[in-house]
Amino acid sequence: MEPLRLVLSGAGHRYPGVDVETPSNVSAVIERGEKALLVGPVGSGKTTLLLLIAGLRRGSGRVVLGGDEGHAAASGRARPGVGFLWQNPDDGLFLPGVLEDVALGPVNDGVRRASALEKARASLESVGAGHLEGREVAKLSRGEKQLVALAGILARDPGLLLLDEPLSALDAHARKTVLSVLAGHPATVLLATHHGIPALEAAGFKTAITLPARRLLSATAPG
Amino acid sequence: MRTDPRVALLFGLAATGSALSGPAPALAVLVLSLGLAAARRIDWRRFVPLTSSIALFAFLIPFAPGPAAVAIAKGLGVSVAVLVAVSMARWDRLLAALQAAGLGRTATAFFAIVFSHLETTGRDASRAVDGLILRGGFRGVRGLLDSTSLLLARMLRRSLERADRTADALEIRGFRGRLPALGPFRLAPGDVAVTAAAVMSVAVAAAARMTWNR
Repeated sequence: MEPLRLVLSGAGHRYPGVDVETPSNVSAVIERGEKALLVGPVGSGKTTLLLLIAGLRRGSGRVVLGGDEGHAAASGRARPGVGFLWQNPDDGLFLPGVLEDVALGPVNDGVRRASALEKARASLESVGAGHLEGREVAKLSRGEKQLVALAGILARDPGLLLLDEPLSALDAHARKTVLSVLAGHPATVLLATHHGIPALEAAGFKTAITLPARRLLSATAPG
Repeated sequence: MRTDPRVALLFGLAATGSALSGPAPALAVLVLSLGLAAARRIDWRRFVPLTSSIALFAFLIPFAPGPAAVAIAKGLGVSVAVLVAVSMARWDRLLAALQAAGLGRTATAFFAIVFSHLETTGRDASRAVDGLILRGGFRGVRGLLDSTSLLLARMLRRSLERADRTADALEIRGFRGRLPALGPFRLAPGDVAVTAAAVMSVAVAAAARMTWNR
C-alpha cells in the first residue's frame, strides 16, 4: 500500500468521568513515508492518541489520513491501511502458532493460504525472526513476541504504522534490526516513546508530536 | 506429538456418539480417552475441572438409581472424550478443520475469540498463582480460601480488561472470521492410534446395540 499522509487538527480524547482531555488539542502533519516520533511521559495519552488515529477511539478534532477525513471520530472502526503495534505484544497476538498468527491478516484480506503463508514467512524474515516460524507464541520471550507482532502488521502492507513503545522489550540486536526495518519501510511511521529518543533520531526519526505531562486530573465527584 | 486436527475431530465425534449410545460404550470411551491421554502425555491439569464430576461419579454410582447413573456415565464419557480430542491438536487447527467442513465465519470468530481468551487467561492465572505463592499465599485453609478468592477476582478483572484490547486488536488486524486453512492431510504414525481408538469406540457401541437387540 502507498504510504499515507496524516493530519491531526485539534485532536483529543476525554475519558468518561474525567473533566480534561488526555491528550488534548493535538495538531501535526506527518508526510507520506515520514518516520515520526510521538514523545511524552507515561500517562500523557500517547496510546490513546495512537488509538484515536487508528480509528479505535472516538474523540474531538480532526484526523485526516490519506484524504479520509473524520472517519476516526465518527465510527469507532479501524481505518484501512493502518498497522498498530501494541506496547504489550500479547494484546496483538491471537493464534497459538507464530506463522499462522502472522498470516492471519493476509488470510482475512482474502489472500490464498499458500500466498498468505509465503507473505508471513517473508515478513518474519524482514524483522529478523524467520527462525521463530515453527514456534508457539506462548513459548516466546516478550522480545520475540514483539518481533512476531511487528511481522504480523507488516504482512498486511500498511500505509501507516502506529507503534506503541515497540522497542521497550527488545535487546540491543533486535532493536537495531527493528529500527533498520522501520527506517527502510516505505510506510509512514508514528512511533510513541518516552525514552531512547537520541537512538531513534539517529535512525532517522524526527519528533513530530510532544505531549505534555498529564495535568492533575480532577475526576468528577461521584454522586 | 500433535495429532492431525481432522483425526482428532474424527475421534471426538465418534467417541461422543458412542458414549451417548449407552452406559457400556460410555465406560469404554472413558477408558479409551484416558488411555489416549496417557499415551499422548496430555497435561493432567486439563482434567482438573472434571475431577468433581469424576468424584461425583465414583461416589454416586453405587447408590444412584439406574437412569441417573447412566446419565452420569454418558456425561463423563462425552466430557473426557471431547477434552482429549481438543487437547490432541492445537485449537486454531481444530477450528480450521471445522471451518473447512463448513463452520460459518461468525461461529469461527466466536470460538477463536473464546479459545484465544481462555489461553491467555490460563497463562495469566498461572503467573498469578506463582506470584501468590511467592508472596506467601495458599498457606493453610484460610490462606487457600483468601488466595483463591483473590485469584478469581484478579482473573475476572484482567479478563474483562483484556476483552476490550482483544476486540481492538482483532479489528485493527482485519480479522473477519477466517483462519489460515490446513495443509494437505498426511497420515502420521501417531494418527493411527487415534483412528483405531475412534473405530473401537464405534465398535463397542455397535456391539452393545446388537447385544440389546437379541
